Amino acid sequence: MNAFVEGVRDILPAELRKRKSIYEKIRNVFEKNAFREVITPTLESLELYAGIEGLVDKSEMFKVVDDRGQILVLRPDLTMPIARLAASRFQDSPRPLKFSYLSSAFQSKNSQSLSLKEKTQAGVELIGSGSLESDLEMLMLLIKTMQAVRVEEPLIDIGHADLINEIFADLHLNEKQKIELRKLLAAKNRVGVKNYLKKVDLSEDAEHVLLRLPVLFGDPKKVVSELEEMPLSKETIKVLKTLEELFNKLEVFGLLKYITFDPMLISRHGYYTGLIFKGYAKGYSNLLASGGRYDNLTEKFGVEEAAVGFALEIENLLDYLSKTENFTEDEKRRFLLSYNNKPDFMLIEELAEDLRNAGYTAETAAEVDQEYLDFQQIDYHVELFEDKLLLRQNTGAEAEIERKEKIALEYLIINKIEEWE
Amino acid sequence: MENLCIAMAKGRLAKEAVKLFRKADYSLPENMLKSRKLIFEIEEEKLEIILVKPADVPIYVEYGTADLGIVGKDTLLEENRDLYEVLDLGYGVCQFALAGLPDRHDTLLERKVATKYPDFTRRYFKSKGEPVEIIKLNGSIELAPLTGLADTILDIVETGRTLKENGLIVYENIRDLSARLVVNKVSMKTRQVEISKIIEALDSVVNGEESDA
Repeated sequence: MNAFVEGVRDILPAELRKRKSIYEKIRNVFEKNAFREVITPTLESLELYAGIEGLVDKSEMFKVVDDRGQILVLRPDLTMPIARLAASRFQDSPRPLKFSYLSSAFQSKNSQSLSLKEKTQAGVELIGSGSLESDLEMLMLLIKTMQAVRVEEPLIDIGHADLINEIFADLHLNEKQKIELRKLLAAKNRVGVKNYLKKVDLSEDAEHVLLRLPVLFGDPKKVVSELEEMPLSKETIKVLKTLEELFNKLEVFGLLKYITFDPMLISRHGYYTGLIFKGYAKGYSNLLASGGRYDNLTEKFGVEEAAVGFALEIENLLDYLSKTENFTEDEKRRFLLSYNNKPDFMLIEELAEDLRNAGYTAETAAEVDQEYLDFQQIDYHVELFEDKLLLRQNTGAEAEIERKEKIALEYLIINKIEEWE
Repeated sequence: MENLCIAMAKGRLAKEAVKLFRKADYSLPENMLKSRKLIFEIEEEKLEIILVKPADVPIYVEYGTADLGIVGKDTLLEENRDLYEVLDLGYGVCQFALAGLPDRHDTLLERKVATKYPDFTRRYFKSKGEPVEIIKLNGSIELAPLTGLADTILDIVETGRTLKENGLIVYENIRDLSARLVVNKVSMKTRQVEISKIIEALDSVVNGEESDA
């Protein structure tokens, strides 16, 4: 039998330890900022996800048929279930709602570089508030969370879903031109834009704007001021003004240094309606987080309300942290206690329990070989003899302790290892 | 910060790319491709150049192992990766074409198409709504119609000489191809200043004054 499934994996103790430490830090930041964690079901109805443009392609969802023939999916994302929750169970609750989550999402084909079918996401959703302040709150929370897990230089790239549409409206493009140009602009393919402009008849102003857009991104204030110089409509300027206000507020908090602005930032998720942002780390070429405003998403459930949120890609984050070796773990020291005389097992078990109570990890064994000690990454091996106790550190250091009553032994062991460390 | 990494498609495209960089006043050693080395540290330019198989360039760049890549449009179309395609380098010009024996007539069964580009071929015929059987080959595609393995090939055609010498004709030109400069989507943002400098330098060599307008 080959019980191996491609695209999913076992998480082994060494990795899980690192994960737990990250999870704890992320949960801590979320909770402190009043986002309470929820767990939604792994199975959702297909209808929940059907018809949401750009979220997940139907063919990329894992489908399950239940005993009544209803088609279910393994949740491909975590925002929809929370939107469902807000529109149903919490329909009459006071706004804003603040939820967080840390769960897996499933996709049969994953366009992100790490080709995992099950990936872990940690995120927050702020539902029922459409203010600029809540956009700001999200961006600040993302920066704080990234810093909490020791992303040294977080970088948040900001865009706005309306911007490209408003600019296109200004330029009087038809639908076919819009689709073609959107693709070229999203790929920052300036030459493609240039060649395309030769084929279509647009005003000089429009050509000037379209040729500039593929190379216009980066420093938020510079980009905004250049865009404002362009022949754009009032609506477009209005969008720019809100972004400018957002940048000014971020500057007040000293956070503008983490921000870049890309007017042509186009998200894969078609449901964003306003602010869009992506989180990166300097020197790491994969996406660490993404988020934005999705004011129309709850419309599906009959109630339209403002919402904004983001999700961190835990696997990418782990990959980044292991590359930069930026893990902080306060790992517990591991003890293994072994004995040579059968009647000693009682004393060994009691001694182990004392060490556990003192905050260490301890296990016992009648006899043990070096291979096992190495495999379990035991820091201290305590071996009990008739007349003495041998304490060995994995570095090779060794100490002999005279056999006394239990309390004295525990004291002597801890004393000794503190001396070593 | 680490040197910017550029992945180049081994072979002719890399040779032209080195020339292009030298024209843009980057001090790449003239004979760097003569050795069998696959990785070059160009300290004075803060660049690292790696030589990989053409089909691997988009992969290296999408995963971010390389920040930039130089590769043919044919490979980009086949691999269909999520990248920024910022510049047409204007060399390595050729075409995607359908070709086969001069006296091809419709068969009862689906058309059999042999190609090195199965994914692009699938998408192309899908967009035309024609069902075909795709046979993926790894080289000497011209042999397929001659031996009866397939009745049509989809391949890159430069001068058409190989086709002619094998008695094949072009049925249809699908699209123009050339070498492109691609950029990892995240690097573009996190290392914007350095990358823009390279794009501008290469752009002015390729497109001359005209592009400054």
